[in-house]
Amino acid sequence: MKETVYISGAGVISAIGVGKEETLSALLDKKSGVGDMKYLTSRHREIPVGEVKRSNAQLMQMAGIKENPLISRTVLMGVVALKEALSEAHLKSEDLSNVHFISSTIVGGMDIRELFFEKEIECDREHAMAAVHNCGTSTEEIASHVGPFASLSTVSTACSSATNALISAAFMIESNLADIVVAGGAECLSLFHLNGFNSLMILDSHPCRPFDKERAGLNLGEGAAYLVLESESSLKRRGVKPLCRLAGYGNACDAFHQTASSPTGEGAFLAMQKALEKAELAPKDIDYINAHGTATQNNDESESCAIKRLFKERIPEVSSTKSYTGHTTGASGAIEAVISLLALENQFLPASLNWKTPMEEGIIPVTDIHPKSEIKNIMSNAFGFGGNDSSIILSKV
Amino acid sequence: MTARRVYIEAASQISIQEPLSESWMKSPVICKEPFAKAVDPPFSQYFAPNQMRRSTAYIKRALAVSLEVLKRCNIAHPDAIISGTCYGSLERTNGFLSELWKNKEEALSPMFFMQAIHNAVSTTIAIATETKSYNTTYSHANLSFDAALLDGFMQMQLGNISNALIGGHEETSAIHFELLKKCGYVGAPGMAPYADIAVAMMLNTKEAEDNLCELAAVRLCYNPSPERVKELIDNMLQEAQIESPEAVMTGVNGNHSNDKPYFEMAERFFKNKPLLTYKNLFGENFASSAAGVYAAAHIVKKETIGSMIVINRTEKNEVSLTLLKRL
Repeated sequence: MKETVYISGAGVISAIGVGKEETLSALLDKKSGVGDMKYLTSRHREIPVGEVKRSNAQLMQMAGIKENPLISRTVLMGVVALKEALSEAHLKSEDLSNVHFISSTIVGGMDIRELFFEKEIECDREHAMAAVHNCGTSTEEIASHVGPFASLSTVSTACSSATNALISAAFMIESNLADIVVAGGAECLSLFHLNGFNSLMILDSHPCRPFDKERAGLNLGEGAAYLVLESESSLKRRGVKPLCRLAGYGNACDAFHQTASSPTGEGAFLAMQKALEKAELAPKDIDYINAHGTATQNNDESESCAIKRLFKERIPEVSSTKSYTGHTTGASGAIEAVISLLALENQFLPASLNWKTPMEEGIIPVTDIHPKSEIKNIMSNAFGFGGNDSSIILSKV
Repeated sequence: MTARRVYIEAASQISIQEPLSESWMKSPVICKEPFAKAVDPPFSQYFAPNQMRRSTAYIKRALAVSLEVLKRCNIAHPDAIISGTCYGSLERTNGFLSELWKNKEEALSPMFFMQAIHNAVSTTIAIATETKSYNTTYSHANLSFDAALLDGFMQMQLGNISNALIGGHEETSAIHFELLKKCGYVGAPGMAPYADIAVAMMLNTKEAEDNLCELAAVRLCYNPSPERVKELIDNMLQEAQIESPEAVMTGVNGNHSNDKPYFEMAERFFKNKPLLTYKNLFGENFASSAAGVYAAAHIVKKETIGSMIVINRTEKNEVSLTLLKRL
């Protein structure tokens, strides 16, 4: 028998707040966290970003980490979010030897390498260790500040990384290799990322406008989020109530282009379709879609097309919360899963911001937070470069 | 859950050995250099000229070895494409950073950024073969390939898929050679060379005489106690109905600090079993465990070894165990 996968805890940090409570308030008050660049030092100060409103020193204090200039912001945010998730799931340090940890990131500790990149070649051993960081290093460092997990793993599929980490975690529970897996992602802003997206000319110089006709690109953001995935038998054994069920998931590849989605959104369509099949739900059962909705020309057009193809005449409420957090890339799938969980727990719709004019053949995003009926099933989409498209469904228990 | 049998149907490599060949089994290339580049096959048979110009050697190797395995298995669109890479294209990452500093954040080439993203290999294979199925990438230090292998194995146990193209790909760079040397990972006297690797293998649930071996079990663990390792090994052997593995493939590379824990594990859990090494042939890099499983699969097929366990570990004491069984 395949185990059913539940979610028993979550933690989040992003431009709209530290923790689930602050995040919920910002969403209910429709308050975006996108604004002027404060913590990242770039020549492109004119580009708006969704920064976590805490300095590294403040984050270290919050994470209970001794001050060390060589710890990446990715790690600091990861520790803060992970601790919240474990605490909500009533998991203590001594329980972690049976808990597996899967994190995701795209560039991990690149912010630290950038601090001394110019002098890298003559650096000492300690700096060389920081320079050769890899995605796995950030997972290992986050774990080292939290506890003795059973195993560690890192997923890196561009902007769908965190959703694929959640899917990978679900496999472990379903196949009985684990009872509890904490999964999600962490990503801080870095010059590498800012300039990479800027070189692709997909950054808006204004707050991003998902699904708007005048949309002109995305805003980069940063943050971290983790969800505790747990089997039914483990929940019973521990006497813990689940927050929701991870009812379905789907992963497909658009197989179209390295940085562009196919016009019909084939990969997105297949990922959403697989998630519905897995959840044994019909399109009409989905009450809200937390879209990938980056606000680039290409994504919003392609995602609109895929949603329309799958949901036909009955399109659920759709919004993109990247208008609050910015696009948190390697963490976005997990941050948006937590936002979806908050919507399910608190029965509200995270309304899209900055939307004015409908796109031709586009989705009309929801701008009112009050749902017309009970929210039972939420779909969350995450699409990455190369066409790594994934979708998950959270269902009420 | 009833265990489904998973097989390694075919596996190929591009490394410092003769590319896309198993000639290393009879006449291995001996490399004494501390840092060596892969011997590349003629790529022109795999790529159109315009692709040749745009791609890095890293992508070309990964795609060529993948296409080779797909061809050997006569599979056009695998049910899953799963890769493991620690650094992705290091040349592109380092190139983008250098350009960023040189040009002071202006006029940067998006191609460097695009090709630096770690999922470039999995998605390039998907684009080249028009495969829209499950596609993912693990990037977890030198357990990246092992995590990819576990994903494919789990999904077969779950009945989600019946075949999967699994890869381990790593590119070396001169900058990283110097940095990694400073960290004590590579370049120690007498150790295996720091070298590029591209390994692809097909997992399949279909029983066939031509399969290389059975992939009986895969486990990952973090900082385990010796008791925990023992428990995992016993558990794997029980699943595979094997009393004890006949041989052990280790990540020994000639660098004392790397090798010591392998010898300790072998002494504790596999006393008097033959210990095999592969890094002396395929070099050291963060996806080298892919070469370990590749080599073990071919040895199990061609020599009379009933079963072999492949051990891989990280500096942070993460351990991966892969159990292969003769057909």
